[in-house]
Amino acid sequence: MMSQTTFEQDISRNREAFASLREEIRRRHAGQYVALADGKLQAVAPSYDEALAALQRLPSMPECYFIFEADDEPIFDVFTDY
Amino acid sequence: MARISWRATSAGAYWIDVVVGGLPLSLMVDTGLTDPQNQIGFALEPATYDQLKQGRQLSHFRARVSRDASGRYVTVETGETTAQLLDPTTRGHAGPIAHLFVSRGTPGVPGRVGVPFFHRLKGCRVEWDLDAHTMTIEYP
Repeated sequence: MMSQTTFEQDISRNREAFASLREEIRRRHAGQYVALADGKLQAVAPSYDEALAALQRLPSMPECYFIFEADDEPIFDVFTDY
Repeated sequence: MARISWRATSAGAYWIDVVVGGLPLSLMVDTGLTDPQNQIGFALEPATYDQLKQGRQLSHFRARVSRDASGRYVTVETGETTAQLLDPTTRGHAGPIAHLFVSRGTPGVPGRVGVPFFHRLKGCRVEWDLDAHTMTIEYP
């Protein structure tokens, strides 16, 4: 399991990646779901499930990832489930 | 203002009735379920979440990161839906309709309603009677 620090670093890495990819994602992938993980755009697919399946096909499934509609924005804020 | 009430169980938990995506559910009140975006109103059992998804009652899916009481982070699926209180006596819909997200919870953990749902109930008040162990919601 990923450590707390590593997870937080991963969130930051994906947040920074999205900041630089935002315009490209909106321009090229409107109407699609996109998957962001390990600081990279990993998959583009017509549905959430297909984007998730693409992540699951990676050699190592990331624990921290963000799937969202290209016209929208990922939410990096962590919600608490105590 | 109309009022609906629920009594705490013998275990001390409060379960309220809510229609989520057209599905009447009994959900445990969990004030530890909070979201800085005020979006995740429910953490549902996976089977219930999947039922809503298969019934096309969820949209605008997103993967969000949650953190539990042990500090563990996990990425979970969430989807947007509608929710409304259900009168436990008459089974009629009560109060405003809220638009918010549900998360696919952990197997074995009961479905829960969190703080963002209550924050979406415009014009409503919660009265928690600590002596009587009842939770009452007043709605316009």
